[in-house]
Formats: sequence, C-alpha cells, structure tokens
Amino acid sequence: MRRLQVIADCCTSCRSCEVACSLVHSGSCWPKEARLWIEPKENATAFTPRICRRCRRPRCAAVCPSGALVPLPEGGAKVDPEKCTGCGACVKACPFGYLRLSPITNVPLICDLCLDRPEGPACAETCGEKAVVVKET
Amino acid sequence: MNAWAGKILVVDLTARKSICVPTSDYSDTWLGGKGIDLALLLAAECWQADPLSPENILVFGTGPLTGTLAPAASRVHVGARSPATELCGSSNIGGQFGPELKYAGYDHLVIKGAAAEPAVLVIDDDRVKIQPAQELWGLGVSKTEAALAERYGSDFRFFIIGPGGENRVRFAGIRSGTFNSASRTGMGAVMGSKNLKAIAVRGSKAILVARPERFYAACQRARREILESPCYQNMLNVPQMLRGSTHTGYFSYGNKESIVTPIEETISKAEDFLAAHRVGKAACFSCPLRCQDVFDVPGSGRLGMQCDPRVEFNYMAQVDDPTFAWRAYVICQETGLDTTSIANVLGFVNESLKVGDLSWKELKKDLNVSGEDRVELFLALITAISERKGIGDLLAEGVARAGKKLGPSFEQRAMHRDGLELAVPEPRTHLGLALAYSVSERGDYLSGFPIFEMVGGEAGRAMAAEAFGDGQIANNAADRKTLSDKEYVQTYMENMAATADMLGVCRWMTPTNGAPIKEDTLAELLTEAVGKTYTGEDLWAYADRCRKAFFEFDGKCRREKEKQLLPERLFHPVSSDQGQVAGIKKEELIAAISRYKKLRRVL
Repeated sequence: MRRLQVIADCCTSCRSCEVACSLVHSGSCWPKEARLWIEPKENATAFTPRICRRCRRPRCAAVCPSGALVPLPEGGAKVDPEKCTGCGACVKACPFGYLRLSPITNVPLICDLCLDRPEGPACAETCGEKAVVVKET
Repeated sequence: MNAWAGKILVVDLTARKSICVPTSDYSDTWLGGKGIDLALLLAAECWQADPLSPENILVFGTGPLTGTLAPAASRVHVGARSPATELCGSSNIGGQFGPELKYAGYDHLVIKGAAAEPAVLVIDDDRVKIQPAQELWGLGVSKTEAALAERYGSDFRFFIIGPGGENRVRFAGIRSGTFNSASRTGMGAVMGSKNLKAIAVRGSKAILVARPERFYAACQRARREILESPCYQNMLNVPQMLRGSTHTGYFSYGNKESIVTPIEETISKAEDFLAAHRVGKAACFSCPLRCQDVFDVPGSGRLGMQCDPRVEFNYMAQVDDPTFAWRAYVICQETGLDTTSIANVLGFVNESLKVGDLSWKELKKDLNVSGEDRVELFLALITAISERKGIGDLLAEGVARAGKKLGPSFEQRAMHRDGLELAVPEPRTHLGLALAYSVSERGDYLSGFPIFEMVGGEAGRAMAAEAFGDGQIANNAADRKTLSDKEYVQTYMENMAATADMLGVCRWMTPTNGAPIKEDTLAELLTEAVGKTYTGEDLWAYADRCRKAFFEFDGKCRREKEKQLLPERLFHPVSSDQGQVAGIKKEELIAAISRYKKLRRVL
C-alpha cells in the first residue's frame, strides 16, 4: 500500500508542497486549495506538514451523511463533488485534524496521492528536503 | 491576468482611502517587482520630498512569479526616497508576505501620506482597513507580531517596524517573522514616518498560470538544478564557506582600518556556535535553498537568522565573540535595525574610542553602563540608537551625518557611500567590489556582487566564462586585483539581480550567489506562467530599463549634489595578513566608473 510519510524535522516551511499540490489539482498556484498544509510552531521556527493519513477505516467517510466520501480499498477515501453538500462533518470527524474544506466549493480537500500522475504525488516530488516522502507498505 | 494578481493597491493614510490601479498599466514596460516600483516612484515625483515627510511614498512590489511554484518565489521589493542616502531607496525581503499579498489580489502596494495616529493597515482580500495601533507603538518586533496574530489571526502575514523605525533611525528596516528583513536604505524609517506600525495581509485567491503542466515541469527542472548545485550544500555551513574566501583578504577588520583578520579563530568559534545552538533549517516561500538557520540560544529562545550577519559584528566592532554577535543581532531583530549599518556604526565608535576622539568615561555615562566591558557598552549603544537616546540620537542619523556634525576627524572615518554605511567586504583587495560600491544603485555592493573574483582562480574563471565566454573578460573577471573589464561584471550582475527582483524571485538562486539559475531559465518560467514568449534578452532589456530608472531618479535627487566617491581612506595603503596592500588607485577607479557608464549608455 502506498502512503505519504512526513518527517517533520526535515521541513523548512517553504510550502512548495502546498503550491505543487494546488497546481496539479486546480491548475493554479493556490495554497488554500491544497490537500496538505504546513503548520508553523514555536515562533514559526518549527514546522509540521499536515497530510491525510489515508486511514484503513476512514472516519471522514463513515460520517459523511450524503455518501460523497467513499472509502478506498487501499486506505483513504475518494470524494464525489456532485454528492457533497459541504456540511463539514468529515472535517470534524478526522481524528488528526488533517482535513479541510475548499474555501470556494466547500468540498473536502482530500489527498488522492496524485493517482493520475505517473510521477506520483506532486508534494513528494517537489520537497527537496524529503520532509514528505512516498512510502510503500 | 496570468501570473500577475492584476491590481496595484494605493492606500492614502492621510485621507484614509484606498483605490486600485490595474497592474497592466505598468507591466508591459516595467514587468513587475523593482521595475514597477521604480515607475511608481518616478510617477509620484517623490524625489522632491523630504524622505521622512508624508510627501514621500513607500512602495512594495511583488513580481509575476511571486507566490508561484517557481523556485524562491517569495520576494517583495521595497522602495521610497531613502532617508539614509536621500536617493532612491531600495530593499528586498522574502518570507511569506509577498505570496500572501498576491493571494489577496495585489501585485503592488503603495502607501501615501501619513496616519494621524499609530496605525496598522489590514488587507484581507478585498477588505482594506486602517486600524489604530497605539498600544503597539514602542513594542519590539516579536511582541508586535504576537499581538497582531492574536488580534487578526495566525493566518495573516505581517510587515512590522520596531522602535528603530518608529524613531526614524535612518537605517531602520522592515521585518517579517523571525527570519526576514528589508534592512537597507532605511525603509523602516519611512514606514515609521507614516505612523504605520505594521501591515497585515491575508489572501484566499489563486494565481493563474497560462500553461500549468508546462509551468510545473519547468519549475521542477529549475528546482533539480538548484538541488544538484554546490551552492545548495554550501548553505549548510556558512562559516566554512567564509573560510574559503577570507584568505584573500575578503573581509576588512574594524572600521576599514586593516585587513588583518583573525580568520581561523573567528570562524572556528562561529562553527562551534552553530554546532551548539543550531537546531534546524528554514526557507522562504517556495525556496529549495533553505538559507535560514533556526537557533535555540539560552536567554533568547528559538529565533531565526538569515545571511549570517555575525561576521559583520565580530569583524567591524572587533569583538571576537560569537555570543556578542548573536546578542547584537537579537537586539537589531527586535528593534528593527539594519545589522550592516549598525556593525559599521560600532566600528566607527570603536575607532573613535581607540584614538581618543570619544571618551570611554563619557560614553559609559551617557549609556548608563558600568564596568569596562566593551560588549555591554556596544549592546547598550544599539538600544540607545533605536530609542534615539543620548549619543544614540546622533548615531541614528548614520555615520555620514554624525561624522559631519562631530567634526573633521570623525568625518574622515565615516565609512559610507552617499550616506549608506559600507559593509564588511573589502574593496582594496577585491577591486570589483570597489566598482560595485562606487556605482551600485543604492550605495552597497550587493546589486553588482562580483562573485567571480571572490571565488577566484580557475573556478572563478570557469564561472565567469559561462557569462562572458572564454577570453580576456573572463580572466579579468576572476582576478580580484584588477579593475579591467569589471564594468562587464558589474553590468552582468546588476542585470541578473534586477531580473530576479522584477520577477519576484530571490537573486540568491542566480549566479549573483554562485547558483545556477540564469536569465534563460527565468525567461522560460515566465513564458509558461504568462503564456507569452520571453527570452533572456528580453529580461536583460527590462533590467537595463530598471537600472536607468535608478539613474533618472538619483539624477533628480542630486541636483547640485556632487556624486561621492568612496571614503578617502580606501585610496591609501593598509596592513593585511599578507603585508601591506595598496590603496585603490583613484584615477583607475574613476576610469572604471566611466567605462561602466559608457557600457550602460548613461554618460
């Protein structure tokens, strides 16, 4: 199974991963639309990338009242924007606080591991410090 | 509009009103960043204004690549008529503010007039407000930032001045976060003169690019080029990098008094300090170079540092102690002062004390310091300058003005060009630096940083050959002991720096820092972002126009004022580790300046 691993100590907070994610998903440079984000800590001198953990039994999908989030066999969930009502129940249900809604569409911005990109996830491809890496388990 | 956000926000603090102007009115001619800032400054005719009056304007400029995936796409140019030089002020800052300004929908921000009371300008997408900041006035930078984050939210990004800017210290800067500062030419003093304590910005919009897939691919290629360059590795150990350049007399010691540098000892101590206290690396927005260090030092907590100013404090103040340099840096960070100018001021005071023109006893009394510790005296002096207390009030005017007021013996030891304090790199051993200090657009050497001669030898020549081709120019470019052909180096480096500054990316990823991203790569990134073909030559033409705008602005400022050469001291011999070093030959420097102006076609 493929997932993204975060090594927070390596993160320099350059946020290239956020822009790369938004660029491949929305076609524009738009961190607010990214499926991950960097959280600053300690006077903004330490940083943690926040990325969907792709849970085996995703609570976000379990609580979705409209069936817009569908669990995937390899972990994580896929969103159907047509069915999503933007209620935000998934965001509240995420035990890690790693999910957020698009400020424009209110659809959850959930990581899809860039499955349609042969090069793999854009965030990991962009991170020079290897704070976000692809891990096969 | 692809790449650009599309609007220039003009805020009149006196009238408490704001309007927007289309960026497209300027971008065809001036591209963005420093280019459009210069056009705005010329259009406002603020060369007539007292730099610290409401008639001066303060401009902030991102570029078309700022906020995108282009490497190091974080930069904001800051311009105004400078209170330090009374010429065109120009500074540059990275971090996170620039991208956020573009996400809010603005490429440039123009501040006119002055607020009646201390104020904070809040830009939240289309909502622009001027709010009171009386309770923040007098606070240091970190406390101000914490208070603003509490008031507006931690997802805002801030530009802040400290007490230095509030008190109109002529070399006060503007700070953002713990890492970033627009330090040189006194832009913080201009902001303070407008009663503007801070600017807060938050944006939620997208920056559109014309060809997303091709732009993404071009960005990844440029990033890989940076990650594979030696420059990327060097960023991990700045003291080691300094060691490589100091044996050629790259740094002066004291107030340009000698070039006898305790190299090994100072650098070893700096390395020990790094090993003991550095806890991480950090980067500006979208930058793979990660040139910032995170330190955890007892007494000051976790703080960031960029461009390692410690060597300036150690060498110029002649205090060979990294802890002193750290403490001086922290005071400058909190009070919002330019470390280069402050280190120069300390050198000026230190020499004046040594020759007996200033009295230890009186200085200690003035600063209320007991004991004989020079470290404590200098640290108290930095604070006094930020508060304009006692002798600090005079030194807050900068060494040029202070020297003039104190008398001829002080005036001859004021190390400045046109009122901007010289930095620690030494122009008598590196003659390209002599030209850079003499003709650069703002009075320091950075816009024409002659890195080929700094690297020197075969490696420097090979780097120069990439710019000029194999031949005599490349040979001379790598030879620090000649002024021949240095006009080509100056022009090349200025164009490279201006290109980066206009696009809103960091010049440190270009050959100005020995890094690999050149004008053709930048042109490719711009082409894919905008959807219109740009070549390296096109960018060079924009850079040339930008440089000429500086000449135009400065020409209007100077009027009767004679252009200043470097301080007389630099034209006389000086002692160094390798014996006596000849002074710069004045007639050769004047000839090199003429050749440079001819090459620039500004004679």
